[in-house]
Amino acid sequence: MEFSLLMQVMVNTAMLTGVYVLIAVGLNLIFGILKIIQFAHGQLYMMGAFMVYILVTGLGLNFYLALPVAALIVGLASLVIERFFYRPLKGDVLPSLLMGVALLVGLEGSFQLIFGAQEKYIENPLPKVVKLFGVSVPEARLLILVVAIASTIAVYLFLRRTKMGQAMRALTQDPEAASLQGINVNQIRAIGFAIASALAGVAGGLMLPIAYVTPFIGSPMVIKAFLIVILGGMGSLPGAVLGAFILAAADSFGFTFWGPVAALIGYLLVIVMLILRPRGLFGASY
Amino acid sequence: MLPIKGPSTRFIGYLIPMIFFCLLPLWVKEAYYLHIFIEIGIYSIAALGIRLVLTSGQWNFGQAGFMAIGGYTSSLLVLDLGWPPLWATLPVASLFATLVGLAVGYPALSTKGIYFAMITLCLGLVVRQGIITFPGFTGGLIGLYGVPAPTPIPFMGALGNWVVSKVPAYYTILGLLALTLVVMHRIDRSRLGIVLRSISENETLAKSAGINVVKYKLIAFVIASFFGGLAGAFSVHYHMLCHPDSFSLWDSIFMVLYVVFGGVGSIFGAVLGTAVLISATELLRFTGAFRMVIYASIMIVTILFLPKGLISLPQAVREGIAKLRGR
Repeated sequence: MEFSLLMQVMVNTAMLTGVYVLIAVGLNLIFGILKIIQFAHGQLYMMGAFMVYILVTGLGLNFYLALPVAALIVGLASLVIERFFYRPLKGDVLPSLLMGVALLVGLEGSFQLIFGAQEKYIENPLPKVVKLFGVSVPEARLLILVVAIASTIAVYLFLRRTKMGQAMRALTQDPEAASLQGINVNQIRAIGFAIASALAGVAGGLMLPIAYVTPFIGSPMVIKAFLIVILGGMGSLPGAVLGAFILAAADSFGFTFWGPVAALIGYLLVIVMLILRPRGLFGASY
Repeated sequence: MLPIKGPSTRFIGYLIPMIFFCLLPLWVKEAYYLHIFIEIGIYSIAALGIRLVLTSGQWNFGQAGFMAIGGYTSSLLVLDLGWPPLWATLPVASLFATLVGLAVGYPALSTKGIYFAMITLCLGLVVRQGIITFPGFTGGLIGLYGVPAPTPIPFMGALGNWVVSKVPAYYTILGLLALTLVVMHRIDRSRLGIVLRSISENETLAKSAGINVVKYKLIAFVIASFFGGLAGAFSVHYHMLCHPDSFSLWDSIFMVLYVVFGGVGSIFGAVLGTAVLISATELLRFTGAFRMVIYASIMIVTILFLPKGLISLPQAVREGIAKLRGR
């Protein structure tokens, strides 16, 4: 096996892990505190990519500046989604599920209506290649990894060290008891939802320098994120990271060296693991 | 629903729509509209299976996988083994899907809720990936072309040619859907139906009442697999094409939605949900780019105002009127 190919695949794995982590951590958070399956989570990833695209090409903003602005916009948009589409359902499982897919279709449809279905690119703002331990790593891919690591640590510290993070963890364990402790359940849910959505938005923006954006890039992502969350264990942050790494490795290594059989074996392994250890690799709570 | 009392009136309640749908091709001459009805029929059968699993409180996100198993079994029996199309392969394909359902469902039902949902979802992915991985056998991503139309049987021949006219396919799927509805109706009324609902309401209580919860959930899942296979097998002979993209993960997800959108409470909810959402997709084509937005709006409005599904609309209207009168 060629060394350069191996390195290339490893860089890809690291980058994909970063993207998957950003999406899966948010999905995990939403599942924990809202107890719903957010089917439209991938659309917030798509929205993030579009926002960066508009800010960079339309307003001529610097990419580094566009990224946090896009995250903020996605976060605010998600507040609207949570308030007007999810909150009225009061966490009912089946209507929430239906709402998720309705939002998925609706958001894809509206973005297609506004921006069209054709692929959109930006000029790569990070074209340089960094030498890292003798391996050449494109800067854009490195940035994904750096942001993913920083965000995951930030989320972890937020959940562990702040009052609000503590409230979120309490909500994950028992919403009723949490509200009895004087926690404003609706507010915490909205904030958690917005943080999770902003993370997905950042992931979308980060992918833009090396990929294209269409209104349809979100749906495949959300399925990947589900698998990651399940694999790692619901409600577990380290689980989400490990799950993201496993899936990313399966995607890049498996596909490069074994072709479609890798995905087949991967899915079968997920089934076997779900049966043997349904709580995932890390079945703990936050 | 109308206040139906005696058995005779109830019979009429079912008879009228039956006659209506039997005579439908007399008015609906255009092949395109019949095509929509046929598609509704195919997905209703599969969705009714999902609904049965839902009544036991479990989600089946793998129904398209069972449709694929039924479709590919039937196609391969005909294309590779030279079986006469459809009439013999339909039951065999459905039974094969049932066996797969049993083999997967038995270990999978040691889990429940979201975990079981994810297993079924992965199962759908496994089936699709399996099809792609072994192209020599299944045609891979290209699919199997030239899946033949059913061999004409005497009665069918009088209705027209399967390939040219949609009428024979329409009556076939109508018959299959009627059969499915009768089976599902009987199940709903039987002890099995009661047990399934009791499991979904309170599994611990059902267990403590001496009910073998896993066994009943498995029965529901296996029956659902049968009807998934049935719908898939019919579908490939109708489209005369067997392709992995016809049975994608999103098909599975949308079929669950058809059921929830229509309302889980009644078997007609699943059919109504399927009918409304499939015809919306088709009939909204003229709106072009607005189609997805309108489609999503229909769903969102329904969820917000009719959380029990579209089938609860008359009840909601009645309650609304009663409230107005009360004031």
